[in-house]
Amino acid sequence: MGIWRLVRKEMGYRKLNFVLAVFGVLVATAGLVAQVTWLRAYDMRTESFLTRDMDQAVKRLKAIEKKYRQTTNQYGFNVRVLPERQSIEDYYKSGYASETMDQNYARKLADSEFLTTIRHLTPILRKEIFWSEYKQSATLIGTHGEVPLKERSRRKKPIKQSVPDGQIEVGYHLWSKLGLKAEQEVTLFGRQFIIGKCHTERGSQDDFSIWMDLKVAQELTGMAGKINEIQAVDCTCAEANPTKIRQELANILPGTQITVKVDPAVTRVAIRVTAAQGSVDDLKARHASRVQLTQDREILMLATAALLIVGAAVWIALLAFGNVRQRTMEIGVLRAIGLSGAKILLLFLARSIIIGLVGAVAGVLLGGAMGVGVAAMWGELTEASQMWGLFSPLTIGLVVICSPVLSAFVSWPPAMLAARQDPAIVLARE
Amino acid sequence: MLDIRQISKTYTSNGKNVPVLSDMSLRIEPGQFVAVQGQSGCGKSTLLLAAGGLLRPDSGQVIVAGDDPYKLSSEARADFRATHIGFVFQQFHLIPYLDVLDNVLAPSMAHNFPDARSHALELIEHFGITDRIGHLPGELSTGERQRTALARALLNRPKLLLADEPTGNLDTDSGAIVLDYIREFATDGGAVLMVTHDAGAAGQADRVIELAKT
Ligand SMILES: Nc1ncnc2c1ncn2[C@@H]1O[C@H](COP(=O)(O)OP(=O)(O)OP(=O)(O)O)[C@@H](O)[C@H]1O
Ligand SMILES: [Mg+2]
Repeated sequence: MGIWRLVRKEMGYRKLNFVLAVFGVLVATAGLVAQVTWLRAYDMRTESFLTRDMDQAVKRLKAIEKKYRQTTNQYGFNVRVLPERQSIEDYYKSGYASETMDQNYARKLADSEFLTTIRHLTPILRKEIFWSEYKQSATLIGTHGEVPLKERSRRKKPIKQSVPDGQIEVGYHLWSKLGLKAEQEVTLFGRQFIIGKCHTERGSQDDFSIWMDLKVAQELTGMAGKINEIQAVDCTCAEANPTKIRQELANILPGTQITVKVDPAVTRVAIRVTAAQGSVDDLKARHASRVQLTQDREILMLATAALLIVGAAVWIALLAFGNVRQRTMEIGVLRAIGLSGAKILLLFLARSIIIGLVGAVAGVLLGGAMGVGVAAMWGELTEASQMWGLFSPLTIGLVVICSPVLSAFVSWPPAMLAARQDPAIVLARE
Repeated sequence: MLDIRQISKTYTSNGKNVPVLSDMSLRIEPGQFVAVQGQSGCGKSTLLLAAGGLLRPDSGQVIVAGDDPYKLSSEARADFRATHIGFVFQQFHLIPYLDVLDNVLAPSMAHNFPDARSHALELIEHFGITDRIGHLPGELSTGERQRTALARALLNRPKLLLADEPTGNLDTDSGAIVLDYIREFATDGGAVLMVTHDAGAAGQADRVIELAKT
């Protein structure tokens, strides 16, 4: 008869001790395996959430980018061309350019063929004047509509009609302050004009402006053939890139400085594009920090696992002590019939190894089932193959190997006690 | 076969010395059946343990089959017991979770001999417990238990059988059966040292030693 047979029979006989010890191992190993499986299921779930969010965010970004392209096509940019020598600082301070450029620049721009589409093109001569007849300062604006090349197929006349010769138009504050009315005859720089139109309030410098035909304005100010600003409104460009547009216009109009102003509608959409891009970046960052979070959880898990293992170890050691105490007489008899101390030691260690192994296998099965159950509850398991992905072969391998080793290790002291027990002491006591 | 030369043993418990054996000598030849009698506590079990290589005497010498077991290492002494000595205890001390066959086979865990199983079956047959072969000790009568214990003691074909009141718990009939087997073992050339209270049992022995309390 071999020692294993004795060990097996003893475990079957003292079922309670055996079952309690196996249960201790089972709780620890099932807890460990369940945690690892849960962590994996959790990771899988987080991953799938993030992927879904990411897909949505990217879709949103694409939609907004499309809208952005549409918007830039619709509204586009406003371009202002000023003489090259003009100080921008003075321009903003005074509201007009003191430097001038040739009137032909506007025509040249209108006649040019290039990528940027300009809807409205207006050459302007703007000047601060003193309306001596009324003792009033005002801004004189001489304009002349140009129809840009690309627009000529659609319409013959510029949208903004120039003011007819012999007429002026007056800004809101100007006419209301001076008591002027439409159709009224006025004198300006000693010349007779009919007020063609009294403008409604615009809330800008325009309310103190006088509009007239460009040519007349040039004559009145003695700046024949000169303008000091070109306004190109509603420019669009497939590229939607202000720098490119500026570059292109600068090539056509050397000796000028060009300001490209993005339409507020475009800016609004651009902000949304930035926001959408931001949320995509955000998700990418979250994806990266997920790894860190998983590591943090693993550490927490290890701490709990360590607690479980220590608890199980103490439990098993106590039960092993109990088993040894219960079997003192049996040990004495086995020694009397010739079993060596080493064999007695082996007897108890074999027992603890079996407990560790049985408990570990049961724990792996139970813990795995618990992990899979939770993952299934979360609805993460749509395919059977995903279930295998939840299991960590390393953890399972370690648990199945370490559990019997640890069980034997903590059962060593009681087993040693049994092996060293003097058989005569119990036998003499009978 | 057994030569005990002037052994003494004193137990110490709670700082008090309890002298049990002093200058005890005894010689048993092969084929001899010796019974030991004496008052309770006079040291009969102690003598048996000392003779069986389980309890080292304070002084004196024990020679079994020409060797002093106490000169051997603990592991070698265990093996020595497994090859030369058979024990029968008053309380039988069967292993509760092994059936009759496995209990009889238990000594083969210590020292495996090739015909252990067939010899065990032979002994079981011989002691008339074949129909109880698969039963646990708890399911046996006292006499059956003692016969199982005797079969276990004889599995290794010992040269020396040490029996501590083997009939103490048995009724007259069962006791007689067990004594017959012990007698038979001696007749076949074995040496027997048996402790007993029972004058009838002692009457079966070749020699009776009266142990006095020290
Ligand atoms: N381990 C021990 N420590 C201290 N005293 C012991 C020990 N073992 C036995 N004794 C004492 O030694 C004496 C002899 O014991 P032993 O068991 O040899 O007696 P015994 O003759 O077999 O008695 P019984 O007939 O009751 O079985 C007893 O007084 C007992 O109390
Ligand atoms: Mg006794």
